[in-house]
Amino acid sequence: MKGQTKIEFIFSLVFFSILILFLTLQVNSNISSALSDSYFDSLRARAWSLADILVRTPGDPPDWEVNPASARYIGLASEPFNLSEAKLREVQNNCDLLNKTVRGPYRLVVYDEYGSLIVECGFGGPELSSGVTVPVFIGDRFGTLTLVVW
Amino acid sequence: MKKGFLQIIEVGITALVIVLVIPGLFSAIDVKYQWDRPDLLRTGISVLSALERSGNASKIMSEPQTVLRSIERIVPWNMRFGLGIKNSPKPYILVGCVCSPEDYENVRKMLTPAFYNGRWVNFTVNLTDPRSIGVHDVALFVNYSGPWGLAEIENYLKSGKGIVSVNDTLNPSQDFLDLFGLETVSGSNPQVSFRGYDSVEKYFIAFGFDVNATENLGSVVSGTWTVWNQDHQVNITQTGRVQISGANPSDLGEGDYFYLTVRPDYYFKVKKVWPREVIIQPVNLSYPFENFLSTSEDPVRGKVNIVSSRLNALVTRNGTAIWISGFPAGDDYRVLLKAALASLVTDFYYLRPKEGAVVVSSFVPFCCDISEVVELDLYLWYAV
Repeated sequence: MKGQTKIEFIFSLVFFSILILFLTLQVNSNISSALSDSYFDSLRARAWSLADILVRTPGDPPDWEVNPASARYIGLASEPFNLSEAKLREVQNNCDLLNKTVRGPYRLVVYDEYGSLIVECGFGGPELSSGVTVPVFIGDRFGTLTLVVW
Repeated sequence: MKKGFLQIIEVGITALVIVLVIPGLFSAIDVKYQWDRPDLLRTGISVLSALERSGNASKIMSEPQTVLRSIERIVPWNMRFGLGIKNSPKPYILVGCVCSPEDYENVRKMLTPAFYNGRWVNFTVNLTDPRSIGVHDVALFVNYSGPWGLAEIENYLKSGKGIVSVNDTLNPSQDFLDLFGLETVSGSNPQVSFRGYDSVEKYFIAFGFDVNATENLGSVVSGTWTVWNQDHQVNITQTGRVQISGANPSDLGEGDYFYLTVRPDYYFKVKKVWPREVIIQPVNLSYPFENFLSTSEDPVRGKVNIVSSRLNALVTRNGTAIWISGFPAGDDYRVLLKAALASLVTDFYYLRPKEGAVVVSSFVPFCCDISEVVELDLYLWYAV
């Protein structure tokens, strides 16, 4: 009968619409979550990579702390994992120097083992940020360098 | 049933299947990288590197508590750590002695602390029985005649620990021969020395002969050093000079080399002098022992012969089971026993790790009595 066919068609249309809506929501939610995960991963990789540069290298030139304006990039180590107090002092006096190594927003803090704050640069980041803490040696004591990027 | 209605049911079933399958498919596609282990690994590398830079890594055998405190201070608050050592004797070795009370007293006197590469190795001896050896770092059987096939001994060896047996081979049982990998041979030869460079010889040379000078003789304190079954008087002067009877030269300072006139081809060194103790180090490899095979003993050979003649062996190794033929009093035999025990306790933990922890290793070289590369294993895991 003619009327019965119409009802079937309406049912099918409703089912189909619900299905399309469901699929769209699923794809949206998963792609958004994947993008967020991927962004976090890239932040974490960047944080490790920048922290590595800071704690493993002296920077360029290696004695940039003598003339900070000449620095092409900043490293804080006198030898790998042994941070130079003079370099830390220069960075604490002028946080902008770190922009030569760390592109984009960041927060860097260095504490010694007794809890004294040696360097603090940058401000707290947004919720989606990634930070790494690296144990180091500073002159005659241990310490930690924490770098957060977003 | 009407055809159109059936089609609606088909569409419904298809939709249901899609609704159930699609989320499953999406959840299977996980792009998130698991950072837990890389974070632990990188932190571990940083901790060990910072330890090396601080100079604390080289204190791992002499001042382990200092190193543990340092690590505690720099490991991030959300991580826990364990610390293990490989390739170096444990600083405090707990020896379970399966022996008579008389032998126990002798063993206690023999196992004096050993000093090498600027660190001490101490022995604590407990009198025990074969069924209770499990708690000890190493088990020492003195004149034990069996049974050797006990499950406790087998399990002890399977757990990676070692045993040393000091006994003459008098009609040895098959269990004994199997455990120590021995076979009886027909003859023996009096020329006995270290063969190859086993870890027993390494620690024999490293430890050296510790001679205590307890007797006051006017301006010197005196003790006795017994090697090659001969006593030598050792005097320590107030200025830290050492005078050894039968030595050439006989008046020595710390670091001086000498030989005993009874065997001019073998050299010793005055390794360390304290006001009442001197350590004399054998210098040449293949230290020649006086034959200590007793006449009634059945000569044997092992899978690995540590001290042997051309025909028979007096010290053998079968995995972590070392057999030493019964020996008379003498500092060389005493140090041989200390070296054998220490060589079996070279893998240990200062702090036991949690199962599944990430491990990062560092290799720390030590000298100068012997060259030694110690593996320092840092284990890290998350607190929650």
